[in-house]
Amino acid sequence: MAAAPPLLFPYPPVLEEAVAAIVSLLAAEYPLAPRALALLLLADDAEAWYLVAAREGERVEQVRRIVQETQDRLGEPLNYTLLRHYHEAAATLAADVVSLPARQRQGWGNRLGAWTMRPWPGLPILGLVLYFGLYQAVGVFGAGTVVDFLESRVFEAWLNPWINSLVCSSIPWPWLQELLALDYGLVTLGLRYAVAIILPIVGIFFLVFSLIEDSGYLPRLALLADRFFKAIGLNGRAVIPLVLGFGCDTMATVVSRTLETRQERVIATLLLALAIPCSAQLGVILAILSGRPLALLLWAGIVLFILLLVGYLAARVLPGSGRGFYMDIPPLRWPRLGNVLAKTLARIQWYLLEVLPFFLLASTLIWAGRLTGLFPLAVRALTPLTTAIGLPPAMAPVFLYGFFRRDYGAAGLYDLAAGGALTGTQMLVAATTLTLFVPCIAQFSVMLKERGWRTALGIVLFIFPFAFACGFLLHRLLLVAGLTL
Amino acid sequence: MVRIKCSLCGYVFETAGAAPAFGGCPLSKKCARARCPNCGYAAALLRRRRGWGWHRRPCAGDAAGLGPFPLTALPKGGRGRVVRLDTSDRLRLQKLLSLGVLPGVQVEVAQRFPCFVLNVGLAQVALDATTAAAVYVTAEDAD
Amino acid sequence: MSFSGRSVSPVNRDPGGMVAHPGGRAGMPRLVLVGTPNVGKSALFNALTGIYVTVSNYPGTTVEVARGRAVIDGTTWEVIDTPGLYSLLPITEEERVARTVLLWDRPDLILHVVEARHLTRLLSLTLQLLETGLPLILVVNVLDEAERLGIRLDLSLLQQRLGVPVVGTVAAGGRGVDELKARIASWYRSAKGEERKVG
Repeated sequence: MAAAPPLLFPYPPVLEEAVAAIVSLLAAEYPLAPRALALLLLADDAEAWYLVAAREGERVEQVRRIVQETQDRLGEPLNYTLLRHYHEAAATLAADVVSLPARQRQGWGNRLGAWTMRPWPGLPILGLVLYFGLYQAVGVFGAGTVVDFLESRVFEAWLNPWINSLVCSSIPWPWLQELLALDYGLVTLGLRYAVAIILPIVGIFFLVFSLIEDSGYLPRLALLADRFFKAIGLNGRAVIPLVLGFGCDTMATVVSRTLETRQERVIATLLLALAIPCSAQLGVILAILSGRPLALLLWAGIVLFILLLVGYLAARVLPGSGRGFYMDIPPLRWPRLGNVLAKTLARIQWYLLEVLPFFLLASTLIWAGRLTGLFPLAVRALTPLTTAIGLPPAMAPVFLYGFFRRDYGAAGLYDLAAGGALTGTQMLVAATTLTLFVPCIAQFSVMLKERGWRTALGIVLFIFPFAFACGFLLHRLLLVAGLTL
Repeated sequence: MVRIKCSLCGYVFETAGAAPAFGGCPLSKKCARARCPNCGYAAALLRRRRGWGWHRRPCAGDAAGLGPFPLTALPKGGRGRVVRLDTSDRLRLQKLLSLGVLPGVQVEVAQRFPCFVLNVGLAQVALDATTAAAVYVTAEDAD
Repeated sequence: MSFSGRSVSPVNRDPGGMVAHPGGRAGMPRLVLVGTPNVGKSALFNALTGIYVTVSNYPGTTVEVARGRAVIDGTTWEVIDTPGLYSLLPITEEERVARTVLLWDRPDLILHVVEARHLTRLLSLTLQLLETGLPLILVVNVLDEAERLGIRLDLSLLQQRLGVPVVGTVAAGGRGVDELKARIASWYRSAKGEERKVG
């Protein structure tokens, strides 16, 4: 290790004395210069305390006393004293090195940047971003055009018949035939859903998201949404996981670790599991409800209302409080195409690696469930619930598959709706219940990993009855109102 | 401690703390006015500017030469020099420092709603009202 | 690139015990990139190693510690990109991860990457890093944007004051990267020379 450089800016004498006293007490070997360690101790750093407590034995108490005395003498948190010292030193140093221009130019980027931060015209701009970014790009183009092409041209017309005939002619056992191909096979169902329905939707979402991210728009969105998020126990910072949730709730749950307090992380995890439809769900729901604007509007309104209500209640029930909102606002920039593409590819790669195995697992489980007769049993158990919320029994398997993959459920709903099995009101109830319904296996496993089994299980046990209760209530209300959509 | 000069009688008084001083107006809790103990006039710490929203948009004109007051009392476009950060939340203090908001630095309020946006040097920083209220400044003339 | 971060949260573990390979994996010297989010750290990582990782414009999207290799002047380095770090006193989980790599994993050389425009504010971390006694090179990145804004920086004066090498770069465009590599190489040669003298 190189010799410590000469001190550029000495600390106030009180601190220097404390540092010297602590350094003289530290006897053990550390991977860090004793002086730096003493400073960390003064700043009340948990890791430093742990390190010292494990090695110094009784001397720790003496160190603790020095820190406490210093704190009392200065009358402010020492982490603040120390960091302020560094910042002031940095400012002094920079004053000689940096020369600023006399006047700053007001470019278009600055002006547009300022606009995006105010309610007017920031909210209309947000509306435009959502309309083109989510609805047109992901909904209409991704879930519509691209999915249609892949589904009907590539899989249904070409790949599936080929696989089916190949499997039937070369494999003599029906159980293996069913595992690989036919109605619920790994290739014909698992791979088809993953590649033909989910991948285009998620891929285009990630592309749009990376574009928006690189332009520097997200911190501005966070700022605009801060007050809204405060109502549900979060702050503007939560914009990133929640918006990312519209792409993939699993990835968003991972990213929710960037929130600062445990309360915020739990609320974000809960809301992602409950009320944020992933892009696959969103795409399918937009597709089946697109012909019924009133139903679409009602669906969005209801889900938003539930998001607010549950967030509001959770913020009051869960212990702890949010920390304030503060954020750097970078200038708006033109995204670099190379960066955007590379980032999109990295995310798609993550998605495929993380999620494709779950697809295939879910397919296998469904296959095993059908083979052992467990699935029909579970479907039968779910049927009363589906009829109670006014849906045909054919929806029961959709809910069941929805647990294995959110998007499976969505894709199943798409099949049902496309086949004309649902009325408008039924579609609304089904879409709402399915949006709220339990997270998929992939998301649940990430919830377990990130939040611990208690929180994850608690969230799922809350969501399951809650989703059906909401469906039931909605069904009844629609009946009473006599609304046909 | 906030020192206020009554704009009616000229009496200079100190308030016991920020909160009572800024809750002194009968019309709004957010009003940046305080009642003068000498004459009883709700002395404008910060006079209103053109436009709507008396209570939301104070003007720094009267505040020059007075003691430190919370950043939230600065109008849009108003400038102040940070004097101290008034919170005991260690992490909030640390975060403000890392954003470059620290004693001695000049800040300009670029926006007040829905969040405060400050120009700090060449950077822009967003703070919610609670965090912004912890930043005490003295008024500086806008040029 | 993956979002499922390496779980390094040694708050309740002895961080010293985590030093598995002092002096780098298989004798490879270790180069660690640190800095606040959004200063082009990942772009620099990319320029050094030729591997792409996410260049984030928002705090909190690069969760994982990215690792790569770079051959500089015939020596193979292990290059580590860390999540955004504002100060040596971490607030978030990511900052904790970054600091762990920095303080307890014994890097051989640290590149502190700062954005030229915000030098005043970001130098604070440079000073904190100097205090740790770890060998350091300061990389002043995104120089082009500062120049466009009319900001002038006297980097040689800064180098003189700090007592460590200071290199200006535009990592996304590759400018200054060769000079940085040369500085790393010369640092390595002199460090090796010293080692031999001591040995």
